[in-house]
Amino acid sequence: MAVLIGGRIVRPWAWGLAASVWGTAALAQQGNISGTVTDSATGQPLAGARIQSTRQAVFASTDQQGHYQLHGLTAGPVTLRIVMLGYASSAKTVSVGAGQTVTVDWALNAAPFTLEDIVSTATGDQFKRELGNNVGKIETTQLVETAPITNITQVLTGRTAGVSVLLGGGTSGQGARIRIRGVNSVSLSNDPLVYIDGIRVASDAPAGIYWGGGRVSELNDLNPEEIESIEVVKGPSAATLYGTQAANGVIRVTTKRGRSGAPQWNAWLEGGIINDTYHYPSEYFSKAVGSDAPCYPWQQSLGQCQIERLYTLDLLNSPSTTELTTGFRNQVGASVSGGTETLRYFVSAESELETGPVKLPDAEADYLRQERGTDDIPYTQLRPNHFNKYNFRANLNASPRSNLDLAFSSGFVVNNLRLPQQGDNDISLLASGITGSADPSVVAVTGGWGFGRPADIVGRQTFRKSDHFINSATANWRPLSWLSTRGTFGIDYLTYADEQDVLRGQGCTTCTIQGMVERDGLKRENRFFDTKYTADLNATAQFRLSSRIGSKTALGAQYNHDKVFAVLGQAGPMPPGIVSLSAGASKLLSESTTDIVTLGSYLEQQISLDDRLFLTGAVRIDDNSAFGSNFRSAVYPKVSFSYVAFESRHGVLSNLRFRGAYGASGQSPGPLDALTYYSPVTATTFGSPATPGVIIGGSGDADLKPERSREIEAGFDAGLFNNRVNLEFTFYDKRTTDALVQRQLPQSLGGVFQRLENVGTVSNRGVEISLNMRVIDSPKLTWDLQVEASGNRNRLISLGDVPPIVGFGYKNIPGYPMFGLWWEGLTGYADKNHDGLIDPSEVTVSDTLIYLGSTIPTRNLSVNTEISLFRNRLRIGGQFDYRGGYVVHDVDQLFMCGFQGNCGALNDATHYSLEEQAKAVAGASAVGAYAEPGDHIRLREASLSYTMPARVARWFGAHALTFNLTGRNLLLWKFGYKSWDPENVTSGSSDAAAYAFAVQPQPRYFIARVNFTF
Amino acid sequence: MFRVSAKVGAVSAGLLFILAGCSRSDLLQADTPDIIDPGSVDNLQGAPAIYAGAISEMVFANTASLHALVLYSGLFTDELLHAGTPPATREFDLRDVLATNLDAVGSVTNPGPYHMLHRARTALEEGAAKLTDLLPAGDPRVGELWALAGMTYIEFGENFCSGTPFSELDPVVLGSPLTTAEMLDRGLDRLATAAGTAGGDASIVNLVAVLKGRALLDLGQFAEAAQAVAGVPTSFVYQFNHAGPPSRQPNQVYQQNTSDTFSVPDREGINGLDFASANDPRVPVSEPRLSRQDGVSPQVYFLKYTDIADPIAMATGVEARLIEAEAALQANNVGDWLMKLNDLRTTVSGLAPLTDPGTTDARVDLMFRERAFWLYLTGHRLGDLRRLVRQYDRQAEAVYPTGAYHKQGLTRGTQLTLIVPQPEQNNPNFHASDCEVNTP
Repeated sequence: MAVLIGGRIVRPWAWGLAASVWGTAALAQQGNISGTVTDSATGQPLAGARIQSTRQAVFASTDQQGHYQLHGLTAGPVTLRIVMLGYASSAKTVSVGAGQTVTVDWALNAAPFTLEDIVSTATGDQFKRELGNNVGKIETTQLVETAPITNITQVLTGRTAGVSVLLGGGTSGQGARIRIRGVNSVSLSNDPLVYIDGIRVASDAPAGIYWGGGRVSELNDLNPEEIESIEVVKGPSAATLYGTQAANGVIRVTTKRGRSGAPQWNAWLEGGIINDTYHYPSEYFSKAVGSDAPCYPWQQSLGQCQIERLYTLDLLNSPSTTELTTGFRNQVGASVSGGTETLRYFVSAESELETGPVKLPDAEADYLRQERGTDDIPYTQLRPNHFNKYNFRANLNASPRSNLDLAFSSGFVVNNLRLPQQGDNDISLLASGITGSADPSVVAVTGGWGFGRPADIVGRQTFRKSDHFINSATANWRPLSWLSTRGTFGIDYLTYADEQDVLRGQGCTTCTIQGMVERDGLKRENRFFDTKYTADLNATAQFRLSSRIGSKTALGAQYNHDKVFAVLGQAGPMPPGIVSLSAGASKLLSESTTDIVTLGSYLEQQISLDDRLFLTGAVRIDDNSAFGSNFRSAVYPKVSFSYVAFESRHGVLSNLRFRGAYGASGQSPGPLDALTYYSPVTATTFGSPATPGVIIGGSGDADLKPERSREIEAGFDAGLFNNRVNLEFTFYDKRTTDALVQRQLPQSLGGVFQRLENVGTVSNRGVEISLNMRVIDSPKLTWDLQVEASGNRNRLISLGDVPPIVGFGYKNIPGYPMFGLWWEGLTGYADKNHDGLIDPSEVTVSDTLIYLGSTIPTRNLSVNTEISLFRNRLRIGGQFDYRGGYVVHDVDQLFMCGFQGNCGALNDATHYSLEEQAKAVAGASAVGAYAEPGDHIRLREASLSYTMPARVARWFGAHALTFNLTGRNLLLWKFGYKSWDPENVTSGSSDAAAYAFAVQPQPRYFIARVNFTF
Repeated sequence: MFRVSAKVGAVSAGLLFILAGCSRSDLLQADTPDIIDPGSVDNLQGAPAIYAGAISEMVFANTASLHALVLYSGLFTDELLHAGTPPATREFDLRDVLATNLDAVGSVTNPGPYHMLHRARTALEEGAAKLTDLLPAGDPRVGELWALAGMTYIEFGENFCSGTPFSELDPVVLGSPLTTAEMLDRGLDRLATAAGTAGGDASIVNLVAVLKGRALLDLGQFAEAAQAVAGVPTSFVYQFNHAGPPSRQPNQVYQQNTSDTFSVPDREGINGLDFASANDPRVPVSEPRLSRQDGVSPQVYFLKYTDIADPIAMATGVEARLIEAEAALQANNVGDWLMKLNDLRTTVSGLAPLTDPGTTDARVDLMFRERAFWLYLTGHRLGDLRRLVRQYDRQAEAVYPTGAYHKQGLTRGTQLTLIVPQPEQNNPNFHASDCEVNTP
């Protein structure tokens, strides 16, 4: 790595040497501080408080007795700052003599909110007051004990302004898209990076087998019970030092650590039910006299035909044909933490299983028993959605010397997931109902089911079986009083098998997959080996330039290597009774490798004045294996300020801090995007059914470089009314330049379809407001309110000379939001002949594609609340979640009315409004007639938690016992959306093609849970 | 145990950074095992792979991809009916295709028919040029690739609008639009090269002859067309080969029909032929049922193919005789015309001899009906409908499927040719208005 500065090549080692020489002058003798931290009101010791020197990278946490020790402090005046959740932070300055141990005790005052906190950054832990950025932090420990939280996605939902969790569908095991401050990239992923205990991990494993469009999120592999906190680094100005690939933000997960003291056991047990509570549309068929064709009322009114009879069917609601039922889940786990000052441990294990609320309809099960001549239908087909997940974690922290801390973190997850065929899929369970027909001649043959009947669909069984092993080791070594170093090394190893099994004689009757007839028996097995290596080195020199001015210099290097190797197999036809790649008479085999390496180094300099004003400047330089051969290194600068105007004042305005930052980050292209190459194919020529051939595979751009996002962020943090109210306001302006855009090449070239080029510009602007309030604060009653609000204005500014990118229902065109919905739309209707019916001549539609709205919510508002009664013994909580400013393409209704002609608005028109009739008759030619506002409010969470009296806990041999009743997705208020769930979208990880078709909606969860502490 | 001096600590930290910086190229090394460096196949050992790849691209473009030309050209005419649901596919059946149509534009994994045909063209031309250098003179594979390259130009001329551009990939030269006649002329040029490089291989010689006759017929040079195919035996067949896995070349004409995406129509749009009800052994079909995809279209299966590995005859001696018959009709030699048609019919059991319908228009109708049934789903029909308008002065709306669509209350459009899709507008030498979709 070499950097060209001022025409001269400067290498990183020179930076390190400079830092060493610079700091040598500050070498001094050392002393120690120890003490105890207690609650000022109760005198009880407090475990988990963090005490840190403001001038050195020296810190400690209290053990279960509230004790702490700080070693290696530079002799002289030392300022300590203490931080603990739920207590007011404070600072003390003491004088430490060389070789002395000074005692400093703390009695902390409870405070609902505090401006102070410690945040993990790329250079190490920092006080929040030093940062020029807003970093969202979610403490998960209490949350998972009391709220209906089953995965990390749910932890992130509605708890940090600027973070949009787009759920997509409600299938058990299905993940979500996470977008932070809008979407930056036209052609690359908009997923944030995820770090767990300092190493980069897989969060979005690619789907090997299509099951309907939803994504399976590996982020949800992590057990929320194992997590201490989650921090959200929101934009490029904060993520600069994470370098290339961090432009979409970074989610940092910190798992729990042991605290010294006797072993403390926690155990939990929960069980719950899952219900689908939606009412689905019926199927209609208005039969014409003397014909098998339909005759709609408007046609009859115009004299085109005569209706003989209106037939109806209610496939998705009728008890005998519905696919929806009650699902269930249970979870049991335990953890233990403890240890000594020198060695601490946290170990946990959990088993979780969930069966989604989908079943093979009873009538279809009967049909299947008859078809197969047996009553023995496999349970996996009767209940096609299920997962079993097992989590294990062992974390060790060792302090073999006063200036050396070691941390080892190891997590292992086994997840066996069974997925139903759902969503935009020609054999989707829900789609088979949506496309069903009430035509008696169809009912007689297929039961009325459309695309495929459920009895056939469940014959195609889809599984994901994954093992996820996340290991990291971190060493913090402070060789000198002013110098701390950190090395983090880790491997995230994810292996998963996507399988699809169809026994001979089962499955879809019309499907052929890669040339193999499904009904003849088929096996697909795609095995992925996803390995991410992280090495992260950092050295921080911290010292005082004067009594008022402090300096902190950080130098670091990172190595990230992401490699996904896959073996893809398919075999068929099968002999009866077996599904195995070995048994298939014909076999398909291929492999795929994605390999990308990033090497980065950074230098950060911070100057502080009176511990109130913090000015930071930094630069990161990256090389990446995917950059074009003509491009060398990416340079990302950063500057920020933080100014604590005042703090700990009594009165209306207790604390006030201003902050601002400018920074840049990037996203690298894919590993082959800069290359020109041939691809191998299996050709068939005369006399040779399978012969190797080569065709053009890629026409890459040798000048390819990362797309670059720069961001300006400014805001303030205010504590009001003696810190009973905490307000954070942030404005950001993010601009992505050199955006990588898939340019569709002129097809007359006869080459590849498209290639990535750095031609686009994207803008995201927005505001974020976080408001935390303790509305009532009395010994017997407290009421906390958290409001997280954000608005985002996304615009594609330019595509260079690339024409607008048009996909299925979306268009990326300068001047409009990315992935906005564009279709021919319904522009008007009128019942001109006053027959109460709308016919095609009475609607007007646009003859060109028109902009119908953003497909991604532009407004988010979440209200989290908790009321504690009887000295915190009874807690009542909930979350209301609003999403707005977007449209959902209701393809469910479109399919029924526009394509299948089986909807009520067409067949039974007099019972529908003129608008609904107009949509129905216009739908066939104006697909966008079914673009509907997605705005909604959902009662996402509700919880009731009761801490039993100690004597009751003792009956179980426990110190504490808590009983919770929680619910999820309990109520939904829609503002314009006519179908069932406005959170439904078909797309998986992509932001494109965000339409709703046959997606299973968010189900309702009721969960009972018991927590024991021993 | 950790007796490390402060200076040593600082130096160690510095060393770590030096290590991180000094071996940049090694650390940045990434594996790319799935791709082939173009230089590694430009040799004698690579020649068979270049040949197979080029052939595969041609078959993929015509009959083996989801957006195969034979399917979409058939859908545009009366050869196929859309029995599925996607609106983009339906637009082809409606003859009302936008340049942004998703099927026309295609995607990375499923290229559109226009893109695939250009891919085939460049693969065949570049492959032929490379094989000329790599293989011994007279190797018929060179001639075969040139002949198929010629065929792509003919297919462009028959199916796509006048004003279709042609570019070159290596080196990149963005081309300008060609008229229909210019496309056909280019096809004849390639066929001339093919004739000279066929190495005397009878199969390739006959292939070149049939394609030449086809191009000349499109150009209205009937006598020359008949002359070109005169030496081709009626039994000659040049077929596109298909296979199941692991080949990338399944017979999609079979597959898309059996999956209820496309159906054999009957008198589609007033002017369509009675393919589904004629009970003609050249177009064997099933009884109609309801499409399992859209639930409203009559689904009729084409029973000529029963497997995804079935080959499709794309250039035949039968076509040669049909060319001769049409030339005879053009020369007003009705007896010869009828004899040639009836001679062909004797090769299939169950076909009664034809009689002269008596009028010129009826004879032309019969001629094109015979071509339609003999050449059903081989990519000839759209070119024939255009010729009826262009060469026989028929009104387009008396030839193409027209009027009310069979579902969703829609009405057919007026396009006469396939459109050049929107990505071509990235070519500065091409403008959307260059593509004359309403010109036969």
